[in-house]
Amino acid sequence: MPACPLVRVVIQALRWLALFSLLAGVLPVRAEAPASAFDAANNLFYAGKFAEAASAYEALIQSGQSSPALFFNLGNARFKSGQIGRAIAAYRRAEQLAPRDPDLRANLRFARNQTQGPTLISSRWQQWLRELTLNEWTLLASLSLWLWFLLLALVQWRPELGRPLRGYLAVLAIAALFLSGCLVAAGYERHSTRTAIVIAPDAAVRRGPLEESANAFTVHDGAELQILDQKGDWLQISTDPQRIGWLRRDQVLLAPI
Amino acid sequence: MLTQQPYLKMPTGPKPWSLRSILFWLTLLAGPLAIIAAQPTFTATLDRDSVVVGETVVLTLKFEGGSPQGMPALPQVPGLQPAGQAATSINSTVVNGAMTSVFSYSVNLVPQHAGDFVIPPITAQVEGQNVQSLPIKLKVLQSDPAAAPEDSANKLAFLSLSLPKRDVFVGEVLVAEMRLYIRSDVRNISDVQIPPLRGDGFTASKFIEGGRFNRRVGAAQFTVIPLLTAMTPVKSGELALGPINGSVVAHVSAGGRRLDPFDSFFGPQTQPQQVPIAIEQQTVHVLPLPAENVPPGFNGAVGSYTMACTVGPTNVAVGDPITVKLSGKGNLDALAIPEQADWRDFKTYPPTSRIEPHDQLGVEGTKYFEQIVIPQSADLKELPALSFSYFDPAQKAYRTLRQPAVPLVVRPGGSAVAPTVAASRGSPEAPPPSQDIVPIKQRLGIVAQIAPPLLRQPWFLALQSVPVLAWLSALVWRRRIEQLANNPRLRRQRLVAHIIHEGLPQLRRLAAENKSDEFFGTVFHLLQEQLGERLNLPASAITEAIVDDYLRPRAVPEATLAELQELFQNCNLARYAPIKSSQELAAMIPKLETVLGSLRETDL
Repeated sequence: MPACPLVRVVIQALRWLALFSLLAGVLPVRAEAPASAFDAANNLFYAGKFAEAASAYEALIQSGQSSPALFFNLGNARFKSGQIGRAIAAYRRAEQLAPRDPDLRANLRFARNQTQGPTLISSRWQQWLRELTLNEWTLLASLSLWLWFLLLALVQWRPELGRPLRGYLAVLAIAALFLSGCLVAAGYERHSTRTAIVIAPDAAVRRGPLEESANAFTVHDGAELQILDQKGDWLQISTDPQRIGWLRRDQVLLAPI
Repeated sequence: MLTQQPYLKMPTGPKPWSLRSILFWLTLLAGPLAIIAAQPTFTATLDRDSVVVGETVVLTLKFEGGSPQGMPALPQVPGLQPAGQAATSINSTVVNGAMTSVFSYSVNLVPQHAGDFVIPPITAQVEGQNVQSLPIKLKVLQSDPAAAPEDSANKLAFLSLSLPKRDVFVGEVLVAEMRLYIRSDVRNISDVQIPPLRGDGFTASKFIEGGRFNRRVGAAQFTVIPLLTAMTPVKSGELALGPINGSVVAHVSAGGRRLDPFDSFFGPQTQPQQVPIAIEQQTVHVLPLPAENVPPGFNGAVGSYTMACTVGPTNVAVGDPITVKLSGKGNLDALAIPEQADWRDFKTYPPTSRIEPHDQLGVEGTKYFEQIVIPQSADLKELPALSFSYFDPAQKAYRTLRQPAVPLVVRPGGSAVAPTVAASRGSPEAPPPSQDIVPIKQRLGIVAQIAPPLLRQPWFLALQSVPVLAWLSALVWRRRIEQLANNPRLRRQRLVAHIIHEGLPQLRRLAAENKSDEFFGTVFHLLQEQLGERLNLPASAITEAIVDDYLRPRAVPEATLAELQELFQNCNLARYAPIKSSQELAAMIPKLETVLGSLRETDL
């Protein structure tokens, strides 16, 4: 860390900026929302009325409420109702709000492990990219670029610091380049790759977008599929390069981006 | 055999005319009920449970789910005589393709004397099975305590109000009975206008019409239509009920005409008469609940209650729910489970409730509560005792019902279990497999909307231009600094411009202060600097001779040269003959500015 006080001040300011940007990614609407309906839905869950509990959670979501706990509980209610696919979809929506929640990750993993048959498995680099959310990659890349440019500005202001800061500049340049590349890759991976989650108990994947087309293979409730194309009510999907086919749109839910 | 038994005071005052079956705990009969529902049922009811000696009461035997083998034999009850033949009816309905029939037998019974009668269970054969009804109570009075005055006999119709008692407690239900008396010569009534019974400080239920009966008032026979309502006082004091002013249109036979042969087809002709009917204001003395010996958990329940409680499951993990079910009998609307202070180690959810009324007024019935409680610690060994307190107006005392503590086995919570499983998804870790999902979250938490990614938010993108602009600004600034450092003439040019910029205001000040020596010294200095910079000569080398030696050969305008020479001469003269006035000094400043400006613009 350079001894220059100005550099220390700049770096501290960047830390606050990163924190602010992190918080800005999730917009708190209210610190408290009406909890009585949530408690009533929980009541139904505890009473073993999982379908009714799921409907109650859905009603809360439709009314505009949105919280990680709400989607998490909806996922649990769907799971207990035997709807693995809908449970995974709910968990993934919760993941957008609380990607670090250990309970959420555990239940999502558990639900995925209940899925039978072929399902989309992410490659290592995709799994590695998904360790951080898109916003987190954005903040890291942004932070490294900020530091790099501000150091460049500092060098212009104080040319005598050019030599001592040369190493830092090089490291920051490499880091900014690397993180920006990861950001581009993460953005591409998330936005160019749409996935769908099977919600039908057994869905026949056909060779063509017609009911008359021959069956290629079968996917089950909870299977996650990559969407390649769409024609009318049919989606071309794939679980791996060897399995490509067409599935009716009403048998899946589109996964949140 | 119909037996007579001593009268037993009912928990909440006089009852309407429906049957009071014996109540049993729902929880105890949950199993048998399922079995009973599949078997034929037999119920025996009276149209009224309180009559006057000489009046008729109708006993109805109803069979559902099976065909009885005829009218069952009625047990003999001393003092209760059957009158007339039994009437039979069959009602059939078809639901989802299945036909259901209800067989009914109705028998008139006439009590011979006053007292309390109990009709014992009646046994019947239904499709080869023996079925039995429940015992029925009947109260026979010698006279009607709410009998109408005999002078009312000359009215076509009138209204009376009967209150079971005039002294009640706050919150105690009072079943008020209004009776509409219609004289027997009234063929029909229409347009019945009876306002609801209201009183300041009372809440009232809707009116329920009871079974009609005949009663003699004076020399006339009347048909009585009872209208019942449950009134509950909410404050103490002398409270008034009513008055009520209504009317009814009575259709009386048209008298003094020959018998019309069409009467048998269309009925006799009648004359409508509007008859006013009214009830005077009644006073009820409402007592406050006693302030002494109030149980800690008392929450305002007034009546007579019993309680049954079940708890399950009793072998749970921390965070698992336990259901507590309660049933009670009494004033049901206000009945609520009070806060249980001893349940502080449990998270409780608001209870759900369901009422099963046993009468049409809803005064008596059973209220079922289900409350979810969640143990918060594995150290809990029992669900503490549940207590419910109420005020019994009959005993004029508070009572507390207690459900003893229920032993529990509470295991540590499921969230302590490592939740990953061994499916191959590229994870390098292999924690122990989980057996279930992590339980639901108790709190809604912070409500947040799923916002677009930062990369799509304009403010964020705009913010990223800040470091770039900072660097570009620093770069430009650095380039200018270096440009200056590499151009001495430019530096001198800027320095001289600065000196002149600072010097001119100084001249104005000196002129104002009439400091002639300093004034001309500054003028000379400014001329030296400007000419030195323009001619790239040291400022100290600049004298008046410069005009002829350097400027005239460079084609500087003659006017400029003339003014320049004049300034130099004035500076020289000032050493020997200073100009005295400020105006004269100030007048030189514009000339100097003109000369300096001309020198800057001239390419030398």
